[in-house]
Order: sequence, then C-alpha cells, then structure tokens
Amino acid sequence: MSATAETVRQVEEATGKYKYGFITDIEVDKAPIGLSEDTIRFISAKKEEPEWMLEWRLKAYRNWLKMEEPDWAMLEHPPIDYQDIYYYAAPKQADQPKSLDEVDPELLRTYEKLGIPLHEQEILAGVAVDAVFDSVSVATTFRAKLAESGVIFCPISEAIKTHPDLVQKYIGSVVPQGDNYFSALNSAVFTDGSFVYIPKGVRCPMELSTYFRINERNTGQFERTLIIAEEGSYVSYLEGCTAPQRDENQLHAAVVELIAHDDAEIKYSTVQNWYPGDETGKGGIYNFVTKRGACRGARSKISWTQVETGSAITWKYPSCILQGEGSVGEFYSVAVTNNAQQADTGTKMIHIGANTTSTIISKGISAGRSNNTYRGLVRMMPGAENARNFTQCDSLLVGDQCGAHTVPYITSKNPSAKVEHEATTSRISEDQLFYCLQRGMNTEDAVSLIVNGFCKEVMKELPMEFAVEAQKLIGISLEGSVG
Amino acid sequence: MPHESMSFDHLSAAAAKRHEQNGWPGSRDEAWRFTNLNEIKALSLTPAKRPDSHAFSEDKNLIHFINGVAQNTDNISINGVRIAPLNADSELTTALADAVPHPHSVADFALAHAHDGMAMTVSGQVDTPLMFRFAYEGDGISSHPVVVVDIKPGSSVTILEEHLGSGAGLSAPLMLYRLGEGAHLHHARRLVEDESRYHLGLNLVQLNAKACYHGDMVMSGGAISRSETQVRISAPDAEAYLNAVYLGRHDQMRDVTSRIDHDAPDGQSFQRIHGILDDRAKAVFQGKVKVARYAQKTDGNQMSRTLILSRQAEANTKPELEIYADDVTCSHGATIGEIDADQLFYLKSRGISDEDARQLLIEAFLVDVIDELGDPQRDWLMAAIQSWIKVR
Repeated sequence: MSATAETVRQVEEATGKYKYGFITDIEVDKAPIGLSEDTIRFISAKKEEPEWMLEWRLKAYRNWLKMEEPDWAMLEHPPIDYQDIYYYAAPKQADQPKSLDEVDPELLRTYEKLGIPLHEQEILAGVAVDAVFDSVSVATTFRAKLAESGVIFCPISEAIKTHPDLVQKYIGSVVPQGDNYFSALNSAVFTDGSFVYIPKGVRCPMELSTYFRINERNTGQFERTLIIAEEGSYVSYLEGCTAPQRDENQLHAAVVELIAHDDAEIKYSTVQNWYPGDETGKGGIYNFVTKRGACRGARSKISWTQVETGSAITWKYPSCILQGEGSVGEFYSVAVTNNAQQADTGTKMIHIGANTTSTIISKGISAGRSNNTYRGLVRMMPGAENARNFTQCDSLLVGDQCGAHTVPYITSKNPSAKVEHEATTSRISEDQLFYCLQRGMNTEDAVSLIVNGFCKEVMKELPMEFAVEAQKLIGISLEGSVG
Repeated sequence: MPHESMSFDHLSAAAAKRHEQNGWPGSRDEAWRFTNLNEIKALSLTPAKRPDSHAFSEDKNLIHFINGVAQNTDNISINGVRIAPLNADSELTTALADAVPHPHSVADFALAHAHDGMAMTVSGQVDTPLMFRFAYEGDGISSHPVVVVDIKPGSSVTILEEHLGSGAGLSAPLMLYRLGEGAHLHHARRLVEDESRYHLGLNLVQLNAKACYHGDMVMSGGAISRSETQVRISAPDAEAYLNAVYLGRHDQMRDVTSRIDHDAPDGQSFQRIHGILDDRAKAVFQGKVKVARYAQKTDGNQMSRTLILSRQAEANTKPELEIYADDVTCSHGATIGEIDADQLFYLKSRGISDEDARQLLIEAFLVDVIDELGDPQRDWLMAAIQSWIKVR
C-alpha cells in the first residue's frame, strides 16, 4: 500500500468509525442488573466456586460498601451508577469446548475481525492465547505444550477449582481486597481472567498472551489476573485490549497481581486501545485498573511495559513492591490521549529491600482537548540500603487545547538510597518537523515519525508481536491532531 | 473577581469566618500531606496584643516588627519609600483581598488575628536595601504580620526579610509583593527562629509585564517551618527566580512549598531548592508550576536536591507540572541522596580529614544556590548557612 493510501485509511479509521467497533450477537447469560450480595452469590454459583471464594468475595463487597470512590486523580466524569451495570455476562455454551472447532463460530469471527485468528496464531505466532470474551474464557491453546514444562496457564475461574491451594495462597496477597475502591469492587465481582504459574527453574517456552474484550452492552469487565513465578523462572505475558463501540460508558476495573520469587523474572506488556469515545468524548471505556507486582525474592525482577492509547478515562498505576534484596522494578509507559480522552497514569516503586533498583520511563503525548497526567511515587524505606531509582517522564503537547501534567511523589528514608527524577514538557520541535518536511515527508508522517522517536525508549521494550501494532496505534491515535 | 474597595476590618472579619469554618488542615489535605500540624493544633494560642508603646528603631532602613506589629516607622526616611498602616490604604487592602487565595488556612489565620497591616510603596530606584526584622517572643503567642509592598512600574528595591525569636509560639506572616511593569525586587529571607517556634508563612508575589522577582531564602530555624510562595505572572515577559535552602536537624520539620502561575505569555520561572537533613529531621519540597492555555512561550524550570546525612531523616519531594499551553519548555528535576562517595574520596585522598571533607561538600552544595547573588544578600544569607553548619 502506498504511503498516501495508508494515511487515508488511517485517517478514516481515526476520524471515521472505530475500527474495532462492532457488536457480536450471541445469546448471553446475564446476572440481573445492579450489585448486591445476591449478584455476588450468582456469579460465584455460576462459576461453581468453592465456599471460601464466595466468602472472600462477600468480605470484599462489605468492605467496598464502606469505601469512597477516589477523587484525587485529574479526571472528570459523571458519577458512575454502580447499580446500573451488569456484573456478569457469559456466552451461553452447553459444555466447555475441547478444541477450537467446538467454539461458537460467531466468537471466532469476532476475533478474526480483531485480527487475531486463533488458528493462525496457533500455527504462526506460537503464542498461547487465553481469550477472554466478556467474562468467560472460551479457548485456551497450547495448553499441552505448556503443561509439558509444568506451566499452568488457564482462566482463573478454572484455577480456583483445579489449583485452589495456589489461588488461596496468593490471591489478594499483593493487592489486598481493601487496597482501594476499585480493587475492592473487583475482588467482589471479578468474573474471569488469567492464572499463570511458572514452576521453579522453568523458562516459559512461549510468550503468554490474553486478549480481553468487552462485548455485552453495559457489562463492566472485572478481570482478575494472577501470575506466580517460582524461583529462577521467567515469563513474558502480553495483554491487548480492543472493545466494540458503545454509546454508554463502560466500567472496567481489573486487578493484576504478580509475584516473583528468588531470581524470577516477570515481564508484563500491555497494549490498551479500548474504545476512547467519539470526538466529543461521548461513550468510551472507563478504565480503573490496579496492577501491582511483588518482587518477593532476592534478585527477582518485574517489568511493566504499557502502551495506552484507548479508553475515555484511564486510571492506572502498575506498581512494584521491591522486597527481595537486589530486586529490580521497571516501568515503561507510553500514554497517548486525543480528543476528549483523559489519562491519569503512572507507577509506584516501593523500595523495601537493600540494593533494590527501579527505572521509570514515561512518555505522555496529549493532543486534541485531552488531558494526560503522569502520577508516580518512589518510596525508599529505611531498609532500602544502596537502593537506586531513576525516573524520566517526558510530555509532548500536540496542539494548544490539551494539557500535560506531571505529579511525582518522592520519599526517602534512607541516606544511602539515591533517587533521581527528571521531567520535561515541550511540543514537537519545529526544527525536527521542518527537517522532515523539507525531505519530502507530509506533516502526518513526520508527526508520527517524531512521536515514535519520542517514545522509542519505551517501544523497544515491547515484545516483537506488539511493537508493530503499537507503533501503528500511536500513529493512528494522533491522526488529524496536527493541522 | 476583583473586589470593590475593601477595608482591612472587613477583610479580617471574612477571613476569621473562613478560619472558623475550616480550621487547620489535616494530613488528608493534599497541600499539607507531608506536614503534620498536630503539634501546632495542640498549642493553646493567644493572638499577640497590640503593644502600648512604639519603640523607635535606630536605623533609617530597618523596620522592626515585634510579634507581628510594625514599630514606629517615623524615622524611616529613604527617598521613594512611603509607609502607612494598611488600614489607611484602601487600594492596597483591596489588592491584598484580591491576591489572597481562599480558603487558605495560613492567610485566613493571619488576617483573622492581625490588628492591622503595613503598606509600603516603593517608587524609583531605591539603592539602600530595606530590612524587615520580624522578632517574635512568648510561649503560646501567635503573631500575624501582614505586609503589602507595592513596587511601582520601573522601580527597583532590595528587601531583606528576617524572622527570628523564641518561645513556643506560632509565627504566621502574610506578605504580598506587587511588582508593577518593569519593576525589580531582590527579596532575601532568613527564617532563623529558635527551635521552640513554629512558622507557617505565606508569601504572595504578583508580577506585571517585564517585572522581575528574585526570591532567595535560607530556612534553618523553628521546630516546624513552612514557607509557601505563590507567584502569579499576569502579564507578558515577567521573570521569577526562586532559590531556597532548607536546613533541618533534631526533630525539625521543613516545608518549602511553591506555586507559580504562568497566566501570561513569554514568562520565565526558575527555581532551585537545596536541602540538608540531619538527625531525625523531616522535610518536604512541593513545587507546582501551572501554565495556562494562553501563556505560550513560557519557560519553567525547577530543580530540587536533597542531601540526607542521617539514617533517621526523611526527605519528600513533590515537583508538579500542570501545563495547558503547547509552545512551552518546562522541566523539573529532583534528586535525593547522601554525600557523593567519589567526591568524598577525592578530597580525602588529598589529605583532608573525613569531617572537614564532609563539611566542605555540604557547604559547596549549599553555596551553589546563592553563589551568584549580589551583595548584600549573598553575605547576609551565607551567614545564616554558616552558623547552621558550624553547630554540626
């Protein structure tokens, strides 16, 4: 495709209809609208959960009732009516499918439209996909190959039944039920998500990937993901999101917990392009996510990489608790907002152990009338002997109607710990733009090139599968923002 | 909304009402999350009385405030400087009413209890530096000096402002410096109260077109000291420089808070904040730079560095950027750490003792902030730094 045609297509995608905006028509098994203990009992019963899980959910729910929705983020949205949401929706299926052939063809076509044909992925990409369609995981591939090496990769609803000891031991151990308003809500009503367990010394033979989708009208999605990496193991986990077009705002409150033991490493990558709402900000996903990793073991490492281009509202702070001696936390983030989008995102690095190090690289790009905030916390506890942190957050403004904000908190209680933070805000350099234009590039290609260059430090952290998609996404997200 | 002409009593009554309603902030208040005011709340404070007799000051350029009240200023005779009670200057009282953010616990407290303020007008080039000396005394006494300085267009002046004294009381000064078009102010401050005192101050600066404000501060005194500076750049081409050194030891708390509002194009602001914490001292620097949509071509720069000398000390930093204009260059940097081991080694390898080497590095770290200042501010501030270092 010629560059011009490509641009035209991208403009159509950006200014016209949301590429992934379609609704799949399948029968849905729904919980009654609203939230009560009955809803939670319904979800738990649907999932055939053991008694302890139901009790755990109810405890979280009672906790949630006493909590208040946080309002400290630089976000504005109409109040969320938690009684006007369906908390459970599952595609109706008589039995669990044994293979892809048994999966509802309607579902498979949805994935095809999204560009993730399972068959193709199975053969070509070598990626095991645990696809979450609304609330129930419908297909998991490559299970056999993973099982060979002892890796458990399955929907969390299944893990609750098959590996209750592991789930009971780790769930809520990184993000406690009452951690915040949205994690409490999630703990009460989470429907599905992924469970990953990497045994001691195993290097996971393939990248693990999950696609989340929101489908049924008014169904908030409440995923719960739990990844445990035992001593000396390694896993790379990819998460990508697309959602169909909606008029009403949809609530999304996920919780992700990572646990890394001695010498283990978890790499968690996200490309998030939920429906951002139309040009005026109507519709779009409200994305309130709690992601946290605990480096429990010595020399363990957790690395978060995220590319956030979607959602009307993003409230997300993937964090690392650096407990083990010499453990490492990393946060690489690109957040692009356009039109009326609002993003308040960043990270927390809590240094508890000695010789812990953390790196934060955050790139925020705001265009249109959007607001993009980096909010971060670096805390050196008294025991963080010789700990190090380096933080760099850069903001780029495209147009004079948007806002870019930086709100870092830095606390040190150990003199030998060293914290360095730097932040800049500027617009696309006239010189760079001029340089590109005078070499015959058009403005949009030039902007895309410069912005991708601006994000390079983060993009290079992405796994191959995501890198191409993410680069394109950034280009698309910014189309039409420069006159 | 600009106020209609307002009397000081009216302003004071409105502030008293607000303070009664809101009281002192708690740790849930974002602007106060690092500074715990429980110790201050526990003091049963009595507002300082208006003194019966006014003592004369010997110096012609020294204005003496005792427990917040300006002493006789009749002998101040410097060309271009006019002093009056704020009560008698409705223009500047109204200017103060417009400038004070509300609710603001410190401003409201100061205005509620102040009997009157001092209004000063500066016109022309005033070469003699003016000195404001705020002396506080007495346990359980709260003092609330309110001062408005109006620097007329094209005028320039140097003001040295010192806060000292003893007794477990609270000093809550409220200052407004208003700079007209092209005006210059060199404003040096020493906060050197005894360790028994509490200091919560609000320093407001308003800059008109092409005005230039140099604010330099050394904060080394008080059990809890907080100095908040708010600069509003309301017309093009204005410049603000904020430099601060804070020094804490024992169980002291240091709070340097700044907010710069760029409300007009082509403004520049530069901030440099260096702090040293020893023993169990705690500190916070929180600085916000806000650039409004039409404040294009703003240059906003902020750098904060903290040295921690002890295992029990705690440093907090919260630099904040809120930017709505695209053609700007804004940045901030922050570091927290201990004395650089390489530098220490370098000095020791040249035969300097460990203790001397540390002293030297601490001094160098602090001098960095005020080194480029002219006199008399440089020496005056340096003296405060030296006397803190010597006690080590």
